[in-house]
Amino acid sequence: MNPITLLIIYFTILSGPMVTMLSNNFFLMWIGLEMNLLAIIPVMTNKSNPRTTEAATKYFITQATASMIFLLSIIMNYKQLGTWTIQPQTSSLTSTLIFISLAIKLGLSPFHAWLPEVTQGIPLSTGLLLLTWQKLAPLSILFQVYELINPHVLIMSACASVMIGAWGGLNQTQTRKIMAYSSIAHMGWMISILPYNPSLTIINLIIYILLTLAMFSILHPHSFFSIKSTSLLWNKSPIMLPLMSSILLSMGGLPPLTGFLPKWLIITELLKNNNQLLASIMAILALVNLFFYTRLIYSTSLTTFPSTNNSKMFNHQKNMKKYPTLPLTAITSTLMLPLLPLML
Amino acid sequence: MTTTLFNITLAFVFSLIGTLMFRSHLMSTLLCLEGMMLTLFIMLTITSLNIHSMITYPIPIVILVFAACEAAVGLALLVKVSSTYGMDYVQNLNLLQC
Amino acid sequence: MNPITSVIILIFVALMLPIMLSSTNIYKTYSFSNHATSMIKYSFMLSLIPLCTLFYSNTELLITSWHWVTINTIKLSINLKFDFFCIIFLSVALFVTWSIMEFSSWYMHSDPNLNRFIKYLLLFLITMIILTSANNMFQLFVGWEGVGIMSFLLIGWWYGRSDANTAALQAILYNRIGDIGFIATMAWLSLNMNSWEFQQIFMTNNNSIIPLLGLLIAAMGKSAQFGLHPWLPSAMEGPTPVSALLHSSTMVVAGIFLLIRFHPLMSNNNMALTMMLCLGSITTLFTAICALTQNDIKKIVAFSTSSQLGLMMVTLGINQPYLAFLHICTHAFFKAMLFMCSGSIIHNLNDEQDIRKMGGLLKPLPFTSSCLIIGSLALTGVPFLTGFYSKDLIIEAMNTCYTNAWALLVTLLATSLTAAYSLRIIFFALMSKPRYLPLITLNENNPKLMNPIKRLAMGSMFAGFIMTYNIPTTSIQVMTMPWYLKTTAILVTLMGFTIALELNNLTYNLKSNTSTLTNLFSTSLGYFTLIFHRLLPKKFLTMSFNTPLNMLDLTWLETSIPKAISYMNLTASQILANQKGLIKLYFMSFLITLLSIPILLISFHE
Repeated sequence: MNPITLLIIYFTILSGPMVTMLSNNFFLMWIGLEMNLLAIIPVMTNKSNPRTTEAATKYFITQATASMIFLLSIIMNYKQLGTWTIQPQTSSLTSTLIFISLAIKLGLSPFHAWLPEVTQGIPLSTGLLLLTWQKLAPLSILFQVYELINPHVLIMSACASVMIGAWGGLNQTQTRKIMAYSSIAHMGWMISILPYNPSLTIINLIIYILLTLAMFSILHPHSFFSIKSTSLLWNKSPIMLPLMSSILLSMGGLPPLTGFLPKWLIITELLKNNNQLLASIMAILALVNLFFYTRLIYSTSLTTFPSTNNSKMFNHQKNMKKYPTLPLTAITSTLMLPLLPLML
Repeated sequence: MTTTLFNITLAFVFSLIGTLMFRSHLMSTLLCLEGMMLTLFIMLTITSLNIHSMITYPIPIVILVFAACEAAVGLALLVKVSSTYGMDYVQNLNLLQC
Repeated sequence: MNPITSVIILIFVALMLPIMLSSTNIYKTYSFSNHATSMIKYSFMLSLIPLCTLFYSNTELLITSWHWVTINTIKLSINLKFDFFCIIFLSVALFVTWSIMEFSSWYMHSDPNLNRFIKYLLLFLITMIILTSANNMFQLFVGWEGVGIMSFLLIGWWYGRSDANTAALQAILYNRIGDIGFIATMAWLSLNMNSWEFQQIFMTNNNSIIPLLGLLIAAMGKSAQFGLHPWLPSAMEGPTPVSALLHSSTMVVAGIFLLIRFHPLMSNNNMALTMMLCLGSITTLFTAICALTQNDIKKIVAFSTSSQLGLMMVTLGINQPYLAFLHICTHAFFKAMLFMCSGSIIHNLNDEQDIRKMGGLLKPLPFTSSCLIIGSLALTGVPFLTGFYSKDLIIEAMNTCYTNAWALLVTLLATSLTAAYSLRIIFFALMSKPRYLPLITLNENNPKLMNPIKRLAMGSMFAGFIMTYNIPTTSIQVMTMPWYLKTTAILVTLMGFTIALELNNLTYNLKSNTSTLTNLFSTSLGYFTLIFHRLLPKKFLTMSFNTPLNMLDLTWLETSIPKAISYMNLTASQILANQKGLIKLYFMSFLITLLSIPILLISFHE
């Protein structure tokens, strides 16, 4: 693609959520979302093949529908209140419609079905964009309106997302789908705490983004698309083995690692608010998540790729693509637990 | 709720249901999306005329602009789908199933 | 200070000396058994001193020495009690063991570990003396367990034979059941009486049944009463001297002795007395019936012991502990002799124990045969032999006291059966024509065989008279009674003899082809071992195998939790991840959710 076009497109992708996050006016927020949506479609279809086309089409249709619902709700709000902002007087129908549209955009549970398939269809780099950057704008809107949304709806959606994220990922062999289901589960954790303590949502989001970045920084240079191919990591760059294991364990939420932090805080907060049922369901289902992360670890570090050539591939090691974000994200996504007091 | 507003809302709801329950052709989905956009345009226009808010008058135009952009992207995808698969049947979009 | 104390110490030293010698070279020589025998002989001589003082001046003795330990309020010290029971029993046991020891050095002379065997026998005796001389529960328990473990070692002496091992294990297991009762009683006493000394226990008039039940179970185990009896006939797998010692003066009478010791507690409790009476009468009848059809000569004698033990229990049940004790003492003589005689026969016939393959031994073994007949007659209670003095008194006491007629009848029946099976041994082993292999040289001229049997034959004839003549009067006897009550015992015994003789004579003439049901009942020991050693364990085993395996392991631990969770997760994952890639279906689900959320909102809207 033309570099100038690409620059414009990426700039639009970057500026869309910025507009959304910076504006107070819901119409402007909608404009930010639209800009983002329109700009990401060319990035998705950058490599022209049936899979990217299909993924882009699915993404476009769902996101456009979500945008329509969002626009409908803000126009209804404007008609009732005469302002472009959400007020306490906003009707519950409007706020619920906003939540539904944002849920579609985020891939929250009843509206999750598009996320794994779209992630599967696009390249890993675009998948990273989809799973991290695209979450920011809808979550920032949710963060502003969470008080008006019925908490039951939020919690049910969260619970369903955690379930889908856990059980959906259990049966997958493709790393991108696993990451997508992992994203659904993490979204569920974020939404579950939204009615009680939204700042924990932000912490969780930050740590989730760091973890996903670190994970994709390992997956992308080696083009690991399925669990089977991850067993090549041993040959390609052995130093990545412990790194990937610890990042995955951190993602599963094991104590000395960063990933434990949001889970710990969220469960504590839920218990403080007398929501033991949800806390226990989420804690138990986190085990299922942990199970398929450890399966990834197993195939990465405990099995060897069935190849006739037993030598290490030095060519690969020499010509490895450099990924500058890896050191920083790997360290922050695994060793940040001691910084917990600073983040609260 | 006035009859006009009711009518327009109904139009939106039907377009939405049309989108969500769409049939074999991708084209019909895009049309439904366009229909939603236009109903929203009319709804906002009527609303702004009703409350005589001068500052709101340009906003329908912005919506229209975005509708046009969306339609353009949608049509581009339609072209891509039909050039890939030879037709625009939605059922063909099943490469990415689990 | 009287001479008894020093005599007692001398006896203990003399008995311990051979055991001390086991680390020296004498232990390895052939003469060790002779030394041990002489030591027991000297001990017996010494024990006559306290016996005489008891007979003539009624001396009893209690030695308390060396306070051992005090646990909270229970004081444990070494307490030796040499009273009526202990002094008489000491002499009897030493006399009998002296003979058995001499006999075993003849019987076991080809055994490579003869010296160890002698040592075990000696230890067996010592533990029994500890048991009888104990004045507190703790010492009694030491003796009790010592007797148990020594019997285990001796019954399993021929450990190469699986039968011997099984018998030894059976003995120790049945005794364990009895020990549970003993320990329960000890625990109860330490909790409630705060003492294990007999005098202090008897001082308080406690009528609780619990310690008595514990003691009864203990006595059941040790003395092979009905229910815990199967080990006694199996114990015949041990060498014959062991059987002789086990049945005469040590192991099996320990249980009866325990109850005699505790009779001050028992005599106040009618419940316990009735239970003892019934238990004893059942035992004596049941084992007598079992003895009737046995063909193994040692087993018949063993069952007769069991029957006599039942009789002792009956005596205790009618509250006559002194009579029971008298029966223990008289029984020791002729029972040891019976075993020795059968040992002599078995040895002479090249280890043949089946009475059907004996016959006509009266001529080749005149000495053994006559002693066997004396023993059998003494056992059946023929007047003026030893057995008469105790057995006749017991039957008389039963006839004249307020006991239940059922127990009395059962005991009388058992008494007549005693005569029957005694006659059966004599008839088959000694009378008629020889049925053994012709090329056997029978020889009973070894003095090591003859002397012990001779001594015991004297004992079987005169010991009862000597004892009853000399012992102080212990219980008031009924002096007047109708003639038919007085002669019951004799009549019943004679009847048993006559019927048995007639029936045995029948065996010359005809033989039934199929065994009758009663015969089967008797030969298979009342199906008792079949039920309690086969059926019940198998049922319990299958049940407990099925229960933990099927219910716990397979169902509860495997299917219900791990498999169910695995299945649940698998199914959930299959259902949830089953996407067909059709956007139509997703949007359908979106629509359903869109429609259902307003419903949800309305329902939650207050």
